[in-house]
Amino acid sequence: MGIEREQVQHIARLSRLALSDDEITLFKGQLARILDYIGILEELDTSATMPLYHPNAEGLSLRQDIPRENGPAVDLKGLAPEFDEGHFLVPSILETNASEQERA
Amino acid sequence: MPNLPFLTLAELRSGYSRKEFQPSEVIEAHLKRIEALNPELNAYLEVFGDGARDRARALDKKLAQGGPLGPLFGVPLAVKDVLCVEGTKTTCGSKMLEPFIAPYDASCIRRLRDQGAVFLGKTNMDEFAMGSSTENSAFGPTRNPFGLERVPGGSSGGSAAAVAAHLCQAALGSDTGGSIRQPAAFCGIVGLKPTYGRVSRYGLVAFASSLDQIGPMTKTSEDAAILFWAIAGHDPKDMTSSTRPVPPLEALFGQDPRRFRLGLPKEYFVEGMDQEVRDALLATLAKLEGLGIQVEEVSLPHTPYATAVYYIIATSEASSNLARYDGVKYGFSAKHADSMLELYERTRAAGFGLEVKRRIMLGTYALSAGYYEAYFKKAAQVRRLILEDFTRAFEKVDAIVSPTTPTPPFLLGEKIEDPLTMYLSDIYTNALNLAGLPGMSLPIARTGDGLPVGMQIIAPAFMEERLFCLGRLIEELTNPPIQGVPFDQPIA
Repeated sequence: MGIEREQVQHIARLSRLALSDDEITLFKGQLARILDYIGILEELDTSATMPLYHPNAEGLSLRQDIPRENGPAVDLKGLAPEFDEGHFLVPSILETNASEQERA
Repeated sequence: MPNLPFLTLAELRSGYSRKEFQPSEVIEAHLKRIEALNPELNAYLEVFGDGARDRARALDKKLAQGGPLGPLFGVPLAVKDVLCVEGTKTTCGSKMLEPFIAPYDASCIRRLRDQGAVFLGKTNMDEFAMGSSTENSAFGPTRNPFGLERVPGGSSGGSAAAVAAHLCQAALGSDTGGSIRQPAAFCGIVGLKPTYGRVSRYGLVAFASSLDQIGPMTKTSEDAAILFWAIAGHDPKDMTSSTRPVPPLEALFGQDPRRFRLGLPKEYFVEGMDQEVRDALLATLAKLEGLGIQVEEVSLPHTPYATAVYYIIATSEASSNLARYDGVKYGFSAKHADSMLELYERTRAAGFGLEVKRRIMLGTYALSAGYYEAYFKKAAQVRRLILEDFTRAFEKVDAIVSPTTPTPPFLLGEKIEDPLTMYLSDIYTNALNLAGLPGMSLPIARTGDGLPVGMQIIAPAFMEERLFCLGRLIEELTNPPIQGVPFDQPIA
């Protein structure tokens, strides 16, 4: 099964990966081969088979909803690339008037 | 004084209880070996020299005070760099986590610490545990102690090489599709993937959450049982961990494997199985039959589909799990991004290596609109058929045996350019992760070139004791036990 270059670019966008042109070319070929291989599953009729998403036959063991002490707080400031006054710092997400004017 | 790094866990314990040596001597002997041999092997990414020494001195005092010693007391362990050890780097072999310092201990680390284990350091791995050769590490490949031009397997290649070269007494690895068993086979050691849910995954950096399991990598089956016993059991912090009680340690050796019926899957004997691997397995089975053990053919008819199912499910779960690496909360972050989208895309482009990107892409594709039913759901349906194959086979036999890998360890660079060929080196191991079953690899022979060959034993869920009992018997048959060769010389 082939895969188009535009499809690879679309998946890269969904994956939040800024791929280089070389990477797109490489993945186009490799993904096509892997998808070809995966196509073997079409041989099987699974219309009556329930999907198995998890191998844990017992089901999940949820904790009782009982309030208790948390462990020591994680030092978010120490871990975060940029952190100030209790906030993670990120690029601005709201466009300012100035940037709107620039675009216009 | 015995050569301390060459002892098994049982020998270490008996030496401590007779006060023949103390923890600081054992730790020092290991650190000396690591210093001498690690530059060549690149098994450890980080060594906790001073931390391990401080901890050992505290244990020396405890030993001097007397009292009962648990089986993990003063045991020097290596930890795959996918597990959080509080206050130390946990890189997952990735640039993405290079700056990350674990804020807490993984539950298995906490248990081992409480039982007196000493952590020597963190071992190399394929980035985010994605790979079968440890060549996908952002920090250079690990080399196989049996042949430095060969891969140690992966993704737990650093742990396997460290155990084989006696740079630790035992190690922890993680196994999503064979990442403990395949490197164990390639490095001539024992590696166990426990039943899904038997060991808490809390503090294990997630790759594919319905497949990942932590397990021991050791020099003998007995050591694997001890380390397994120490980390197994329910953990309220992992809702997928089982509430079943863990058997006492003695019970893990309580069965007579001479009464076992063993199954040999006919579908595993396909093109691509190396002749020496095949011969070694059949010779070992002949020895077992000589003891009266019955070996019969079983059928696992959906075997040819397992690798396809595995790569859809593992990559789909990975694409979701790895969405957390956004450059905002922790880890690597691209500089000077003008927008959130640019921050995400540039952080992930620069932080992840090629194999990780490839798998995120494949998983995203399998989950995307229009393809979910054809790929992810279809794979989950075939996953059930694979589980049912095993269930039927275990109605007839107590355990299933197979080679761990189709070939002996391959050369560095041999498969790295061809992802599909690399994926096919897990064909005997990944079906167990899909079915959640326990499996153990142990060394049974060497090839004409002196390379290790591993055998895999598979048991029904929560029946790990069958693996240990049979493993110990096989070790007696392949006497003397097969361990590290080129690196089995003491350091002067």
